[in-house]
Amino acid sequence: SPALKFEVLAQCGRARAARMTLPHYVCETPMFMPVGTQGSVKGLTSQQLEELGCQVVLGNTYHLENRPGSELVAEMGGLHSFINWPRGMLTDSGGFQMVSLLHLADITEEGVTFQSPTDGRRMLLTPEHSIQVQNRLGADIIMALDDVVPSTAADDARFEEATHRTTRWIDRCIAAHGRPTEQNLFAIVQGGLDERLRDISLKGLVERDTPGYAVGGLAGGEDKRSFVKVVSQCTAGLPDGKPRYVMGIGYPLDIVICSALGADMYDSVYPTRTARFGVALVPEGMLKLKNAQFAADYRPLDEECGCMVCRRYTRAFLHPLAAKGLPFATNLISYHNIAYMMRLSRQIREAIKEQRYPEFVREYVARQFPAGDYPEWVVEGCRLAGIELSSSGSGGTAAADGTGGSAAVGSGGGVAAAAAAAAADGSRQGGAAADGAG
Amino acid sequence: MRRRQRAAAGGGGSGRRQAVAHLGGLAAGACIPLITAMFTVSYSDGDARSGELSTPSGAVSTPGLLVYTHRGGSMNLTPDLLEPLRAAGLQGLQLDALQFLNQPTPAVVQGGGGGRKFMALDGPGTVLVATGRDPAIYEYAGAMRQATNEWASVTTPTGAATVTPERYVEAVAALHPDVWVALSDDIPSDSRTDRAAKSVDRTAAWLAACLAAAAQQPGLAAAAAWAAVQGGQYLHERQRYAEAVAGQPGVSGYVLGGLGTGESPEQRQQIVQAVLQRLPAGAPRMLSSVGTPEEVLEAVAQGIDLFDTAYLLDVTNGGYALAFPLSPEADQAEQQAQQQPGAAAGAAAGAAAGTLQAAAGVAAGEAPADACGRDDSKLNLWALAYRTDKRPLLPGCTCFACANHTRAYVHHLLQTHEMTAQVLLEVHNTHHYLQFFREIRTAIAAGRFAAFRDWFLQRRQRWLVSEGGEQ
Ligand SMILES: [Zn+2]
Ligand SMILES: [Zn+2]
Repeated sequence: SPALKFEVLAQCGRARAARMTLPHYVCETPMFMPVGTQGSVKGLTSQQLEELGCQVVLGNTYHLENRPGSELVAEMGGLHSFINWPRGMLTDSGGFQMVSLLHLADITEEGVTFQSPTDGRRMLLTPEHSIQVQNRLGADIIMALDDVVPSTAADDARFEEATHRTTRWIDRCIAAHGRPTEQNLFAIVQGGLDERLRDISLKGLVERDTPGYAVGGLAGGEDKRSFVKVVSQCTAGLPDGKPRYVMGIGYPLDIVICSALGADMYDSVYPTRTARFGVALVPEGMLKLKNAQFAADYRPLDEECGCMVCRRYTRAFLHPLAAKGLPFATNLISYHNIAYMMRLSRQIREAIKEQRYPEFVREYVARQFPAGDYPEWVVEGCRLAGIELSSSGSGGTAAADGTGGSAAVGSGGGVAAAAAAAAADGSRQGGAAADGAG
Repeated sequence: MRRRQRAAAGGGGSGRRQAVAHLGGLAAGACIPLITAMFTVSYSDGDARSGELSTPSGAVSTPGLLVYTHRGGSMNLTPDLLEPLRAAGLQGLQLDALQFLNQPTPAVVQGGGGGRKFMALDGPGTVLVATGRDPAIYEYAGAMRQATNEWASVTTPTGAATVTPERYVEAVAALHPDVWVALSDDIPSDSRTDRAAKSVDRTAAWLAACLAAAAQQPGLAAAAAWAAVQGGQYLHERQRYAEAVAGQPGVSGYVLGGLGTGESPEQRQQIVQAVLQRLPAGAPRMLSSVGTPEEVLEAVAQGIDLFDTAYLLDVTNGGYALAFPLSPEADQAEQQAQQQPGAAAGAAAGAAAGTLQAAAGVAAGEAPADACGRDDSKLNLWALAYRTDKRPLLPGCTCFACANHTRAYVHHLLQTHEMTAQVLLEVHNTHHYLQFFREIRTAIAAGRFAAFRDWFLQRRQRWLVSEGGEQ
């Protein structure tokens, strides 16, 4: 593709480290991409994201088209210029948000019909329209409109229909794409949790030879064993020389496992969303800073982190501020959480390049589950990746916990549950932020 | 006319210049030389004066702004955004010691190395002033704060609490401030005479108790103690206290408390005048919780040196960017630019706003683009006029927000309730207000403060009767 160059620098088992050249930035994968839903990553400036080493930032097409509108963004010189972000950008198709946010969304062959949230009119989002809007926004990577079915929906016939329709729609997306030399259209593999359908989707899309591929329809609350199986099947079925993006993935452990299976790109609101609940990401899992145990804990959030926040502040300082959900504290924790995700991505890349990724995974998992009670899906994911986890007897009894970092330093399931809900929809940040502050 | 004078008003001890070196954390039990804040007046212009408050941590040029903090942090700014504001003149921070009574407790703060280190404010050059009042929380008559001779009932971030002078000093000491203000019985200006009299008596007793408690605190050995002057709206009560406290050993500065609680500008002026007459001329004087540009100019004209205020917080939370010109020259240039309809920026913005105003149901083509989104001193970034405005918040401003972002972006962030809007606005507003204080100091040093003040106040009048009048 004229707008994307993907060079695999190192392969370690199924995992790979690559250099991806985009029109605005040369990225290193595997990488985590923070989500700037409406043109900013909650509370952070574009310059802070640069400082933190972010390579690609996401924008949500549905939200940006609502406000300020893609025509205005185009008038302002495109999304890069509007938010003053010089590096890579990716926009989604808008379909996912529509289906997850608007109860009245209805999908037909023509597109997604929905009721306008502003004036109640019936509107139609077609593949052509989604691509036009994304062409106006001008991100380096744009996403095809796919027929999204929540992976937990039970109707087999519906999955079958969605799989085939997604393939039909990619042709319409390709035909509508007006800036193929400046923007890269990624196709999205669908097929729910069904191996046969995923296979059909893979074949159809690989034939279309798009510059990159995403694995869609996951991160929606499906059981994690099915999740790793689908990721494994899709990464195996996608071309080696093209980037593979698992959509909506933001739990650190998920990223470690997906990278073992050969995935390259991830995005989620999780690190910033969870910061608003007073949760800091650390190698052991997470710190629930609101917990009283941190009231006189003078350690930094993460003793191995060299970020601005960890260099200056202690858990004791942040504890009462996080408990109140003060913007100052939320911004600091968000900053650290993004720093953590960037460090994790870097460590993954280095371990792959140094041919020690299996060791890295073993250490990472052992740290999150010091008792050795590895969740079944982690064991399964590693098995699929050809990585042996030193099992400690209890390996068979799954912890049945869908969230990464269940070895949380704090306790209580409220935050984890909220975070799982957060990951399920990549967007509804405002409302939950208010909850988090309460 | 301008006259130069130098008056050191240290509270005793060795007030030598080399004492201004950064001390860092004070080791407990170490032999600490007694160093208190030194105040030097360099220029006087009428009653206005300009000088410097030197402390072990750094110096604040006066008239100066103590930037508001909430529980040890700025409202929205991470340290990397606060740090560059030093170049714009950020020298001092205000901390409300009452925010450190409970969460965190003084013991927690002390355990973390003291406030300076705990709050990561230990870089050289930042003067910390601990007060007993949060300028963002107004306590009007209805919610008048209760007090007995032993304690005051106060509002803290974790709810109401009672505080004695001893407990207050414990919280202050943990902060390791350069200057601290003794606990006072702070009452609103509409309090009755007997309440005001009681407030004065209590405040005097609490000052003595605070000073006694502070003598036991190694963390306060190098800090200057200031007294808050109370007395409500009653000039005789204000003066009674000012006379009693003027020249009291151990007290090296004064705060005018209880203001910003609903008194009229004339009342405030009278109170300030009555109190300042009775205080030593060479001592620093701070006005607490009052701080719009006009209020600052009036108070500076009367001889006030320092301000703590939540004004920037209000401006930022309202979605405003300060945009008043900083000098008569800049004002003139701006007026000329606006009178030329062909001026590039105005025309571009006007054209853009034309379509958007139409879209928003506003009759297009009648007012300049800015008129619907600004008053004499600030822009309302919520206004649709800024939807496609590619200019920085304030053209010519060198702050981080103006150097990197447009009005259109900030407008969009507000519209979508993105917190980055407040971050960018707080950077700009703090930067601009620090520049304003710098201009005030320059005007005093040049002996043209009265002209500066008249220009600023007339500018507002001019604006009210012209374009903004109908709003
Ligand atoms: Zn960190
Ligand atoms: Zn600015």
